[in-house]
Amino acid sequence: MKRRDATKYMFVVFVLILLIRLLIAFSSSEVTYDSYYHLRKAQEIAEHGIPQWHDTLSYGGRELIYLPGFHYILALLSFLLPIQVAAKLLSNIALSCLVPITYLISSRITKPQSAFFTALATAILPITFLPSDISVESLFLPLAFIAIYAFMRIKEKRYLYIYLTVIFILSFTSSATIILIIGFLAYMLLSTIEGKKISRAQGEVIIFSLLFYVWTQMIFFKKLLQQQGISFFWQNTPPQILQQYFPSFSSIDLLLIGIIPLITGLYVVYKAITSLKDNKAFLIISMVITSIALVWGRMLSYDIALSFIGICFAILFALFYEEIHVFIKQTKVAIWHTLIPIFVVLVLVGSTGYTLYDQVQSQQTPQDLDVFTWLAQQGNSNSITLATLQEGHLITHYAKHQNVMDSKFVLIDNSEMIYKDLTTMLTTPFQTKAVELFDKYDVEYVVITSETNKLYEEEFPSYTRECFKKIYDKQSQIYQITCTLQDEQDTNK
Amino acid sequence: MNKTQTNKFQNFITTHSTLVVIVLSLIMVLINPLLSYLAKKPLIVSATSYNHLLHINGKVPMSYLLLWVPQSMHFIIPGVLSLVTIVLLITLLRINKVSPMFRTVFPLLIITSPAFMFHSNVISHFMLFSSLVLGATILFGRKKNYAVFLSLPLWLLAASPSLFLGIIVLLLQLSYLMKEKTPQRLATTIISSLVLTIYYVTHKIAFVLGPFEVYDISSLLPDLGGIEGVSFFVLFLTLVGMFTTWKQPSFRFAYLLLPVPIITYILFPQTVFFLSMLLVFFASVGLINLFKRKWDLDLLKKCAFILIVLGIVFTSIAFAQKVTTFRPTSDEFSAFSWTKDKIPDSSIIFSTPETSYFAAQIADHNVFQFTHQAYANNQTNEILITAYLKDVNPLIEKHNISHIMVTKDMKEQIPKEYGFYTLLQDERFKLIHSSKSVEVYQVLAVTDK
Repeated sequence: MKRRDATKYMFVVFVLILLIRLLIAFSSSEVTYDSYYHLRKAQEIAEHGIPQWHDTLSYGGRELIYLPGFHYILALLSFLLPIQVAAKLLSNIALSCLVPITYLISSRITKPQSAFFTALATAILPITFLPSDISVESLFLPLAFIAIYAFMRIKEKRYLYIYLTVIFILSFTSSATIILIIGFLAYMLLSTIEGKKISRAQGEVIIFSLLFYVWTQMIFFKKLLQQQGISFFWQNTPPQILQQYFPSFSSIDLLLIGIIPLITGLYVVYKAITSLKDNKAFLIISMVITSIALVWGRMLSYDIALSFIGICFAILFALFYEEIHVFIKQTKVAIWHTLIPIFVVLVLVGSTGYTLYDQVQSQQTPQDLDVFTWLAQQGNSNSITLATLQEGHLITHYAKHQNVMDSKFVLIDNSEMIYKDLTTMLTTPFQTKAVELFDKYDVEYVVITSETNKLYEEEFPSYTRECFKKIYDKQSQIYQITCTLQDEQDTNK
Repeated sequence: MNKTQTNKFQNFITTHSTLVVIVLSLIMVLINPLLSYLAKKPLIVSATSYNHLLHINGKVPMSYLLLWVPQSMHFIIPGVLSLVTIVLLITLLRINKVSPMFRTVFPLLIITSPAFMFHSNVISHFMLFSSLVLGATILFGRKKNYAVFLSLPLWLLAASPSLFLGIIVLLLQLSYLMKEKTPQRLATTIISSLVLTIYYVTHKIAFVLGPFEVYDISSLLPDLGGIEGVSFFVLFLTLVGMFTTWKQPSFRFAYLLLPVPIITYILFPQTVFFLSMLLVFFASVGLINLFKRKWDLDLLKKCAFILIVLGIVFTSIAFAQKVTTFRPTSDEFSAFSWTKDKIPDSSIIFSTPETSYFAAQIADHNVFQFTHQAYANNQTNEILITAYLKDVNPLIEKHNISHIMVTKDMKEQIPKEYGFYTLLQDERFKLIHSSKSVEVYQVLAVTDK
């Protein structure tokens, strides 16, 4: 396959995957639970021009510091398109762009024909295939790999400027940029150990990136860092659900990287570690090692790390392909070597197909949004509504009510206790206990969706007294709390 | 700013380095007392200061200094000591013919380091130690015999408060001997070592004494909530400094000094000051080496320099803000002063270990437990985590606690809805004083009820 053909095929894969992504994304009106948080933050920026560090609805009003890069881009796009459409377009186009980006990276270390397989493996990488998910990672991942590509060609002035621009955006978009910085440092260290001299320009951009990244994070998270110290990395996640956010690698999750890229990637990394000299994929391998180390130390979100490793393995797959191609050419079946690309395409697609389908199916999107839009007509922005942890953002986004808890735990005192209370409120069979906690959090409404019942594997306790007035009863239910603990003994609210 | 202007600026800084450093030191030293004065806060802050005031009749150099200086002027001691330290440091660098660039960068990084800023605002024997050691080193380095021997009392005074300081003194003398050995210096080192060993053994001197704040392993990085230490950017420059000097013989003395502060810091985080100063030394070398070398990408060199300067300034400003929040607050000061006159002399006050220093000094009463005592056996916590009155009562009786002082830090440590704080609502405890941030409870005897 010639370079031009490989590029042409890569482009076909890119267009195809973009179309599939957009088709799935727009076939449903919902987005994943956490996406509503990003939509609301982008809306706030579009309305006020600056991020609102005091969130009046989350946790009944709290301070919320975040990197606003992604939300600014979304806010700008929202002037052209409805925000949800803009967000879906941005996420899917950005993630589809990983196809040409990884192709370019792969072309630097292998032949174009092999690089095409990187593009294909990236396109069908299950872990990044969440068309209805709007997240910072959708912007972070392509930008991070653009930075890697620009870093490889840093001596060319054009790529220096591209690199600087990308690092600037990344530092204001996601704290996960630390993978890149530490990855570059690991690359420098490995190179030094192996006596392989890295270019002076590369050393200089590593120093600059490190300083700039630390500086930006200190500007945004100064208070957080001083308050929480090193535990800042765990984002104050309640211990009960820490495992959910920072789990250990499991064999099933690893399938999300794609079985073939996973096995071949591990093989290439192993081979590279045992014979480091003159390895062309030094930089990518440093990134893989860094991601594994960071996720192992629970300093990086599992999903980001897995996505990052998956893409790196897709790039390394090209090296494996090249090696196997050369090997087969030397064997008795060499006459069939022209069939190898077709065979590899079939194996790649075949092995990933089911995981990909399963991943799309397992996207958790709310089943009943009507209940939250209906709730918007009840109460006001001072009303506090209880729902499950993951539905917290739906309460603030659609109902414009305050929630008891959502998935942003940073700077929340006693997040562990709040989570415990939230679970108790939704499951306790004792009405007195429930009312006591509703009093504590000033809860006015309780939303029970099919998700609530599924999560706690039981029906919400049907309290019979007049304290719980069912004001909405369709697929989901809304209860209005009409008593306080004192009222039970004395008067109604 | 064009190149000529930049060079002019650089030249001005290096030629007038002494002036620049002293002016900056003065600003750093004066800013907190001035802000405290304007905010009507006590001019002497931190548990460490109050511990020294409490032990004014002790046998450490700081006690003698406190006795010598009039009480109303105690607040100027930390500032004056830090200025003396900086002047002596500049003198030492000049005598040793250190490059003008290093002579500028090193003191500047020291002044702006949170460790130095902390001890410039707190009565602590670490700053006195620094002044004495620098003075001793200047004399020790002189060629004249009498000067070398004159350094002896300074070394001894500096090392007297704790064994750890003695080890630092010995290491400094050894590193100087490595550089230039003379019989006088060797004799001074041997005499000081012998005298100190006898002194430590006969007086049962502690390995580490103070500071008396609550330290932990994160104390090195104030950016991560540490109490003093150095900026992250300084730490980065330190690594650059070490990376560029580890093969150079002229830096062996610094590497000889390094293990002791590191190990001691891990075991006793309150000694972070010494590690910080050593890290600042390497950082100064790192900063100079980083920008002395030719960069391929000149734009990045300028940007990196600006980022480092901004980062260091950013940490210093953040730390200066933190210093203004050092306790006691004016409200606490009034509450403690009220307690001094209103409760019996025999009373024992229970509060958090850190508050106990203020309570003991300002309220002039016996207290339950200090931070340095709580390190070994935290009995305060034993009481604070108690959830039932039946468990608290025996502890109160056992320790003869007569008054409980609830301050903001105690409220932050214990849950509001249950535990010790709610137990205070019992009739056994009578609220006798309440202000914005302090509540004083009297523990009633069972018969008083």
